[in-house]
Order: sequence, then C-alpha cells, then structure tokens
Amino acid sequence: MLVLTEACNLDCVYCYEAHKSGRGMETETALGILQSEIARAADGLDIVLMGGEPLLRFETIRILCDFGLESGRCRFEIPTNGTLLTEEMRRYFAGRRGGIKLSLSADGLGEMHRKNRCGPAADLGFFVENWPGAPVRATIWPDTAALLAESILPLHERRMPVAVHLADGVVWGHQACEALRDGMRALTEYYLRNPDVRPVSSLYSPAFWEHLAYGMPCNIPESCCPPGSSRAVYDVDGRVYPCHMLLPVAAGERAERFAGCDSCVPDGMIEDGRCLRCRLRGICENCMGVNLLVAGDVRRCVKHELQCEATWVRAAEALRWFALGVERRIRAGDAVSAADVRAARRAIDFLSTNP
Amino acid sequence: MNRAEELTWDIQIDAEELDRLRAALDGYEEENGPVLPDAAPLIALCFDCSGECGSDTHCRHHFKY
Repeated sequence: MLVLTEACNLDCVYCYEAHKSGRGMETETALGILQSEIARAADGLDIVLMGGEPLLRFETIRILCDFGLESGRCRFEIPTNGTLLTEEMRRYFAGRRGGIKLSLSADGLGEMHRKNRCGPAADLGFFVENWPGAPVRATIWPDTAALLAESILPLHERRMPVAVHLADGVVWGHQACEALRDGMRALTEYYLRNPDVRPVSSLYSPAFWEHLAYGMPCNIPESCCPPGSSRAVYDVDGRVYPCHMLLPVAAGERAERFAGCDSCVPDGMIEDGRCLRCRLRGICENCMGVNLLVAGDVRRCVKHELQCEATWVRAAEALRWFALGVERRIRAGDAVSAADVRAARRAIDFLSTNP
Repeated sequence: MNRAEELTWDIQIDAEELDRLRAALDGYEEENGPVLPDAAPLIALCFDCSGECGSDTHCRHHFKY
C-alpha cells in the first residue's frame, strides 16, 4: 500500500486521519518503491494506492499504473470517494478496468452520506458500469445510524453490493445501538422479501451464522488483521509501516515506534475479563490500530469499551435473519437440510439468552 | 458485580417470534423425522477458569470444539 497524499477534498466525521498535513509522496519515491516491490515479489502484486483522496494525485497514479501494468506483475486498487473524477480520468480507468479497480467509498444514497461526508456524492453509474461486483464501502457513524436503511436500500435497488463498516474509535452508545438495530431490522425485512439480494457484509457477517449457528471453527485470529501480516504500508515520505492505522497521519507521534517495521504482531493481547467470557469472543474483531489510537497500546483491546453492544446487535440481527430465512423456506416447502434445521435451533437458542 | 448487573441492554428479541420459529422447526421434524443433535455439542462455552489464566488450550479462543 502506497499513501500518495494526506490531502482529501472531503471532511468525513469519522476520519481516523487526525494529523493530516497535506503532504504527498514524490512520484520518484513512489516509482522507486514500486520497482523494488516488483523486483522482490515471487508472484503477482496487489498494490493499493491510498490517500487522503488518491485521485488528487492522478498524474502520479497514471505513471505508477502504466509502469506496473506494463510489467505484467501488478494489479491496482484505488479506494476513492469518487467525487473528483474528470472525463480524462474516466477514460483512463475504464480503459484499464481489468488491471485497475476503483473501489468506491460512499455512505449510501441520501442524507447519511451528506451528513457523514460533508461533501457531494459520486456518480455511482460509472462504478457500476466498470466494476459491477465491487462493493460500495459505506461507514456508519453513531449520530447518523438512524439513516442506515434509507441510505443503503437504494443501493440494493440498483443491485450494487454493499459493505457497511461501523465507525471505529468512537463509542457506540445505547441510543446509537437502538438506531442500528432498527436499521438492521428494516434491512432484514427487505432481505426476506428479496432473497436474491446479498445482505451487506460486515453488518451481516457470515461469521455470525457459520460460527454461532453451524458451529464452524472460527478463523479470526486473536488479533484480527494483525498489522504487517500481509502487507507493507509506505507513508508519503517513503518509510514503511505495518498498517495504515499506525501511520503518522493517524497516530501522530506514537507512530514513530512503528516506522521501518513491515510487521507488528504483539506477544499477547490485554483483554477485559468480560471479553474473555463473552460468547462472541471468537468472532469479535480486534483492531490494533484502534487500540493504539484509543488506549495508546496496540495490545490493549478496547472494543468492549466502544462497540460491545453494537457487536451484539449485529450478531443478534444476523442470526435472526438466518433463522427467519430457514423458517420461510420451511413454510414455502423449499429444500431445507437437517444441518440448516440444527443451525436454526442453535440460532434460536443463542437469541433466547442474553449476553 | 455479576454480569447481569453489568449489562444495561439485552438482545431484545420478540418471544412470540422465537416461539413461531421453534414451531416451524418442530413442524419440519414432524414431517421429515427428527433431526438428531450433534453427538457432542460443537460449541461449548469455556468456564474452566475466570479467564485470567491465559491458557491457549481453553481460554484463548474461548470456544471448544
């Protein structure tokens, strides 16, 4: 991952980059990193060109992508808010859509996007046309959680896959969780009426029903997404870090201890006793970057202080959707396996017992 | 302080809905024969210790398979 610029044209309420300076990576620096990575890679490379808003550096993007695609070793992903696309950019990216994926970040259609992003919306049609399977990545914020369903359902109506992520590093209080539950229940009703629509990932994570209902082993490691486990992140000055959450633009001076490390796997995590006894422990994601930003220590798990109830709301509604789906299939006379019935009973048992 | 006192929220699932779901599953089994439970529970909560032991074998991932 190469951070091309810290600058962004939007001012999202949940942005974790609290130390933006507007710095950018020199094109020569970026090209040197790309050449070096290509030279030492055994297989193909997946390169993410990040910001800020990376499209502010289109000329650098074009040089990097032309070089990388010419090598035949690289695929590029560019997460973008999509609001700066010019005709020239559209032609360039559409002509190379097999090797470059623009990944749209937008908080649905409507009021939630406007309130969260403090800026305009992107032209969704361009993304649907060129990368139809790529999910729109939305983030929901506690203060706008009540707008979840009305913002996401229009994307489903346009048959766009959606990934919804809860804003990190903030407290999801009881009122916000009530709004989240109401929003998910509206989504659940829609999914039951439209079984061909895939529920938004993350909120309705398959881990919930695979692990808690079907009893499949959970593969989420103790420290989810261990920084550096599969990627190196190059900051605008060309120094490598283990994770984008551990960059100076996010962590400020605390990032210095991670400079030069492309891997950071702590010896052990420090967890609250409630987490150790929690039924969701195996599937509750733990972000070391958030731990650092909130608690000053990558090992000290803070999820229970921020998102405990929200995680239970997600789990309960995902299992409720799953059980209601099995019920609907039974009542419709559709094929249901014994494993589905067993899993549905487990889901109901889970829902019958409070945390 | 026990856990019930610690938590100020609950799952908030409609009891009538759960009864209806169970009835649907019971109806399936009446029609298709009983669905046998797993020989041993796939998921068992680990309460072997208070969670402070740090053991990799029963507390690290909490669930036993």
